[in-house]
Amino acid sequence: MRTWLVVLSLFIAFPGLAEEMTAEVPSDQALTGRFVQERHLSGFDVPIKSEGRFVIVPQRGLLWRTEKPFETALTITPQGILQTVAGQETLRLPASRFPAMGTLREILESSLSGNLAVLEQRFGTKPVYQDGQWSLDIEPDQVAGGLPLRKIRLEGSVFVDRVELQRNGGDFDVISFSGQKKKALSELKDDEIPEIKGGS
Amino acid sequence: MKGSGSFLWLAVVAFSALYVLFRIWTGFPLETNILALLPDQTEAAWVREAKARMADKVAQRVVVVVAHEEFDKAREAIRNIVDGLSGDELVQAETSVAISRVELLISDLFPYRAGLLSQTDRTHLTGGEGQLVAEKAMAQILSPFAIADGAMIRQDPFLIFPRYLAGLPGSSSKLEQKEGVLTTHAEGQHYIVATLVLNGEAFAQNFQRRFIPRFAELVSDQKTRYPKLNVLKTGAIFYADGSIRNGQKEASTFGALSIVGIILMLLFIFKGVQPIYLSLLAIGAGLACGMAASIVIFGRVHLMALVFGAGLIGISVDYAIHYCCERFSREALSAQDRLKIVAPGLTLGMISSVIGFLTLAWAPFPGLRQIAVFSAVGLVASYLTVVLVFPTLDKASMLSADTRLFSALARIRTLWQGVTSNINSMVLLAVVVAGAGAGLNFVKPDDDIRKLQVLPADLRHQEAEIRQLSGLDNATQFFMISGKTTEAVLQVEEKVASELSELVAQGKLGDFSSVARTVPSQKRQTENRALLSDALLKPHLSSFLRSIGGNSEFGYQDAEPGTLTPQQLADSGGAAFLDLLILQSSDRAVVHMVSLSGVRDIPALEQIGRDREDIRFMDQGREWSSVMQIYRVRALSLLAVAVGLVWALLGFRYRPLQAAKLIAAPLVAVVSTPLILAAFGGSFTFFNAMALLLVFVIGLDYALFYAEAAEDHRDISFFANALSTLSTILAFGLMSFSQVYAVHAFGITILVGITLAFVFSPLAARNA
Repeated sequence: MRTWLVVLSLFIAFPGLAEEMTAEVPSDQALTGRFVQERHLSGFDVPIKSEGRFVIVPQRGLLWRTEKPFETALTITPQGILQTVAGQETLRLPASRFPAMGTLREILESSLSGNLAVLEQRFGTKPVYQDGQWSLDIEPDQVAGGLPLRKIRLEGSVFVDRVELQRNGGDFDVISFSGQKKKALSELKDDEIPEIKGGS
Repeated sequence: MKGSGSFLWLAVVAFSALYVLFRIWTGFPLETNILALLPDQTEAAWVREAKARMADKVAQRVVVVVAHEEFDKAREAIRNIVDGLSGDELVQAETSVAISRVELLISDLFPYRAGLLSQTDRTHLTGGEGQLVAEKAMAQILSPFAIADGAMIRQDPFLIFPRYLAGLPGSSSKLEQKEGVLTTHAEGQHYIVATLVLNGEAFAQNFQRRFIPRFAELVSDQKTRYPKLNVLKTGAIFYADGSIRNGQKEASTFGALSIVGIILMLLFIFKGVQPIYLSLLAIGAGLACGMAASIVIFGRVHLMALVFGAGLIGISVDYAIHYCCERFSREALSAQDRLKIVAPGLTLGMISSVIGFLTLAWAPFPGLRQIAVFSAVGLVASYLTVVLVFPTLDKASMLSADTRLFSALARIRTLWQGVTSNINSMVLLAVVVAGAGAGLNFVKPDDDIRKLQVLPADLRHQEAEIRQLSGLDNATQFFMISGKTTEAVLQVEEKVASELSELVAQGKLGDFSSVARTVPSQKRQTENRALLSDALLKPHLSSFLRSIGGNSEFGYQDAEPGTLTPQQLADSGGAAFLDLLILQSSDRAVVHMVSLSGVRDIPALEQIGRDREDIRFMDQGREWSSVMQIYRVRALSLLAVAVGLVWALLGFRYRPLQAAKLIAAPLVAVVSTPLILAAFGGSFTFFNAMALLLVFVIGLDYALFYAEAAEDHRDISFFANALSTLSTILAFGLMSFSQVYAVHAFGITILVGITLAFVFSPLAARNA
């Protein structure tokens, strides 16, 4: 799960790859926006659709808030992972169970600061530019940790706009982003701050 | 007649020696578990049996951890080590690291998923919250980090199985499954942990001789290949080998020094080798017969019995010395004469010593009983060797005494001439006892279990490091549950589990691990299946499938209608970890263990199953610390009983006051030794108490030998006592330099006590 997190957080916050497209998010700001996720599962006639909002704050965490088909939120911070359904906690895992969390934070920060060198070093592949758009393909075995993924494709302009995750077993996800905006932390509402309260 | 008795007895000794050697070769049944010393009457038979099985299981395990900066190199190294060991059939092949046990377990469990519910799901469904379970599943499916794939969701739309797996015991370990091995990462190092089961007896020397060098060779090969490789190991076989090597090192230094010392002394005094081999014969006969009797009666020999049994040497050699000293006697012309002169003293000494040791057997303490049997049988054997064999072998002529030595010793004897009257010695005794009473406050009792720790420090560090790395805190508390059938035990486990879960929720317990948490009882599986069907599938499945775009073929139709048993899992080899929890599983009885971690409230745990015969809470840590105290107090009170019994016995031969005077000499030594040691800052442990018993027994011998000697014979008797003291000091005094605290305490007490007993022994002189 943590490897997913690494990859996904990276893409959501991806600030653009060419110098003229940078959208750097400084550590006192957050990136917010909307997502639509289509999950195509093998043996299912139609994809499972969900949509909602996300918030990412460098060095603090990621909030993935699904609004449709029903309210559920996932928070990932240096402390761990917390999932709630309609406000009720359904999953809580401390980061100590996932030592790779440190790696995640490192990647988050470098991607947010638009550090291409780190990403190239991680994935080994270079983006392709065309008509103000770019795309990047990543093969799973280039990603540390051995993801159950066959291929990841990222597309974007200023921000990352679309992510396609092809999994083993014929499943694949398509996540589209829209309305990405940088916000000062003070502008965030209480329920937009990615943090895990209480417990361990 | 004498000759045939002598040969018959020598045959018995030889047979005992061969038997002991044979047992040592085929796996010496040495018991090192301190718990084995605990009273055994308070425990039910099934508890004792289960404990023994647990000890055996643990003893057969070896944990090896390799560490390297690079994961691949660490994995390669551990593979080579494990393959090398299993290739030589030193470890069981199925325990090799190169397997995905968890995957195996999952494929065994999955078909039975309809009967396997996580604790939380079960609570929700029982409480009629099927909707919540459905929403949790939906949240998991929608999560971009979902692990469940289409195939899984088709067969388990509510994802009850992944949640059940996440709730399995052991999921709190720091170790993670990666590419077929268990691994963790810390401070730039990749650690890989392999648990192996030995293919031979951990305590058998012939197996150790094959395993230890081969293991060392494999490790050094890998270290040559990967110079930055670090290897940690733990397991009973390493400890057994380590303590043997430790013991051998000390024993060879001290043993050699004391034997050389005693031989030089005997050579100097007797100017010939005969006393040397006679002494060795007496010692050897005692050790061989004592050990053989212990093995035959108790099945195994406890380390403590062995340590204390070494005290036998001190007494056996005394018998030989007293016999040999008669060569200085002018009345003893033949070997038979010599025996006739020493026989009354030897016989009385032997009987009183045996009585002293047998009082130990009175208490229901298996450890003390072993010491008693070992010592009593050994002493009788040494005595019989002197009485039956010495006269046949003894061809030596008379010796003239070294007058300077005798006159020097005479000065010590005359010290007591003023107090040889019964009244005076009573006064002396009273003064010493009163002084001891006053000094009692200065004696510091010490029952620290670590004093018993004779295991090599290096191995203990490695073990601690492995524990810390794996995150498996080794709680010494656990439950044992017994029943007639596996099903019955599983049902009891489930009752215990519900109480333990409450403690976990209250933060009083970290986690617990039981068989029933992996494989619930058949009753529980049937309940779960009905619960799933009534509270989740009937009301929610079809609408749930609609919302995720699934069709009506999805669900739990293909799930096994039957129930899963622990045996099925064991047969497929998917649940090696359950093996440690199943202590016994036969047609006669079943015993399972419930292991605990993160224990923070022992009294709360003690309440669980308190009034039930089939549930036992075990707390080894506390048992360990109390056993030393119990033993220390018990040893002292038995010493008091021994003094009383010996006094009564001596009453058959002496007048009561005379008998009291005889006992006075060793008693003064016994009482003042702890005070002298305390004055030098020493504490008082069980080992000091046991050494005092030996001081009393040996000191009483000195007094008896002196008392039994005719007035014109006292110089020779005292001379023999002096030689005995010297040999005892050589044998035990060296022990006080030992690095092992127990051995040190034992040695220093005997050193001081025996010296005092010798100095006081002329007090015992009988008045004409």
